Amino acid sequence: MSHATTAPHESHDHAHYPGGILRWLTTTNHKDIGTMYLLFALIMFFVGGAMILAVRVELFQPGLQLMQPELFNQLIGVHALVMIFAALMPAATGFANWQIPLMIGAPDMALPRINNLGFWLLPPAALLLTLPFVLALFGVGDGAVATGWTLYAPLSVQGGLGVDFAIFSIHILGISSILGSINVIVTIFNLRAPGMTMMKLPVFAWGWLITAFLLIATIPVLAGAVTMLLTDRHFGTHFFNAAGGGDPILFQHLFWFFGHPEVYILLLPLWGLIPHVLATFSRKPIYGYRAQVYSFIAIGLLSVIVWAHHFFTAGLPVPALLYFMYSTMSISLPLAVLFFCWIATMWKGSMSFETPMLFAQGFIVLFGIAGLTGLVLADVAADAQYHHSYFVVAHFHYALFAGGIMGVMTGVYYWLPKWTGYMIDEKLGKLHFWLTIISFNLTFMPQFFVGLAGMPRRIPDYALQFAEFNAISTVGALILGFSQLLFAYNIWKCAKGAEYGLPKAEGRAWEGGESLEWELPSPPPHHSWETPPVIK
Amino acid sequence: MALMVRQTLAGQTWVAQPNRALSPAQTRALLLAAAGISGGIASGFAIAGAWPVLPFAGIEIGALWAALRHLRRHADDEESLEVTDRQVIVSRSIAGRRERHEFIRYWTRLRVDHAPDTGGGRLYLRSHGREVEIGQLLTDAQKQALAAELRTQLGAAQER
Repeated sequence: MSHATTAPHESHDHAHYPGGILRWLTTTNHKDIGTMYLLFALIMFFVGGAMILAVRVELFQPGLQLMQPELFNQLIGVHALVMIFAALMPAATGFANWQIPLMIGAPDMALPRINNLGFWLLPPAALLLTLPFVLALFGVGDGAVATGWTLYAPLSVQGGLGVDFAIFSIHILGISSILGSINVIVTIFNLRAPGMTMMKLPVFAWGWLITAFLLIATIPVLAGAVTMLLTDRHFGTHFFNAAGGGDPILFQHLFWFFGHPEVYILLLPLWGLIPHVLATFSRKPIYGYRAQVYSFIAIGLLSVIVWAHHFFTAGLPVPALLYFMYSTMSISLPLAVLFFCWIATMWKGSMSFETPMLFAQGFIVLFGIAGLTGLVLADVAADAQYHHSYFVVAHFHYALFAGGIMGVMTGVYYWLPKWTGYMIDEKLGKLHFWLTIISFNLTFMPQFFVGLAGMPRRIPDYALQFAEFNAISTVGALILGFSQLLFAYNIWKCAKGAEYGLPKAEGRAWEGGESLEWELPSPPPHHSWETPPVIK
Repeated sequence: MALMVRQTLAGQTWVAQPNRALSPAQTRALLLAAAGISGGIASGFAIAGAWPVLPFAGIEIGALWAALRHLRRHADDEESLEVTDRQVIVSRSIAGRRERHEFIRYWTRLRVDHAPDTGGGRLYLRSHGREVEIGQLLTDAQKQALAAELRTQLGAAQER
């Protein structure tokens, strides 16, 4: 006989689950960490949204009303960095934490402590990114990074204190992403339940797996690029300085070698989740599982060989232009397979239109527009006209808001009953959906038109001819921004389902839910022990 | 997680083992593939003049290596819980370290520590002021199943 074991968490005998803030600081539970990732993403979504609403209000009419160009430049750049690194990526990681162990039959993520560290790196990184705004109020530095999120050299070499903050913030965010992706990779590869072969993995897990590999492939490039930027700024190197024998275009290559796969890093987990939602509400199995998995792999491979289409106008040699044009266009093939599979999943299904299904369908339509306008931009000849115009802004918001954020909303509405044990308020959810999709199009559709007419992006003032469309866009953005409060309220309401009298969710909260997580009660119960033993 | 039950003359034994989906050879292949991708890309950029990418790729692959090594060390983890007429025996091997705890069945209580809000929980066996956590290798659903079974085995009257 011996005394209590040596595992560290057993030493404090009865306080196994510390309360208050300590619980959240020390938790290694994948569900706790998933919740923290998702809440952090939601908060940063509002922070990034508030920044861009100020920008849209400034753009309501020509001339400078609200802010000086310097602040305008800071707001657009930090908006992008916040939305990409602090909202969309953490949201996807939150999904991974909550769902991957449930979906592959693992008790937790493979590296729970690393998981905790990965999350807690995020708040300081977000603080670093936004702190220069506050410092500037006290006369320290000249505000946040004002180069746009791409940090192009030589502008960023000359930029103020904000660039240094952004560089360190990106480093920390990169470490967090790497820790997250290592965790996903080892969890999926090693902790699969017996009998779950790779080709039986849920599509969602496949999407995340490819994302994790893309992060492994590209984050070192970004880390290297911003480090070179730092040494160029402070330590006398000339990586990006033509006068010192360096090459500013090298920065663009490095940045977009990371930046283009980043788009798929953001989107693949959501492409993985959409088939589950479509299948659930069509009451049919997922169509073309293998085709979708192979498409994910193909997209992952193609995404790292197309980066230069982001700077066709930088003066690349013609053979390079042709290569990058054709390789970029070839991405539309696996994507078309995905679209086909999504639609075929719904085909002749017994469809119902609950909130997650509405968001999933909105996702398909709007993301389709993103794909088609992307093809236009992939054309070298056309891109000479569209480059750096509002057409690009509209295109990537169709990709990253409609494809990214609406994908996240799909997942949140779909899994909230599983997480909280209460059904969502459908009426509120549908209102949120319709307000979002209408105001989204109101915001970004006009930007295609002003872009085609020649309005450049990243300017606080513009020619009078663009005034009407910009006014419409700003009105749309305000509606879009404030309707997201409904989203937050709906999540709150679902989390406090008992107080609001929402119906309890059954294990299979959605009638058609087939994947493994719906076999468990919602939420996995505290007190009911009727389940018979699992004997394998 | 694999959870097996053995019925013997002396009593009942539950054996839990972690999922081990990757063999050592597959683990090596995974690490080599990741190192190949990341190292290849970093070398390409180093040739183009951006050598600072290389150390970051190295650190990252080092981290992946450490993660995989950690998992391999735990690949042979096992926990068994044997309930005989008179005794409850917990024996386990975690990262090569073996331990064994014996309790008198009549005095043994099961304590369930529910994680707040998230549905998870931990199981403990306690007796005479000693407490041992069991079922760390199990999923929440399996823990619930095991707890249900243990309650009948240990006697409902002793539950807390």
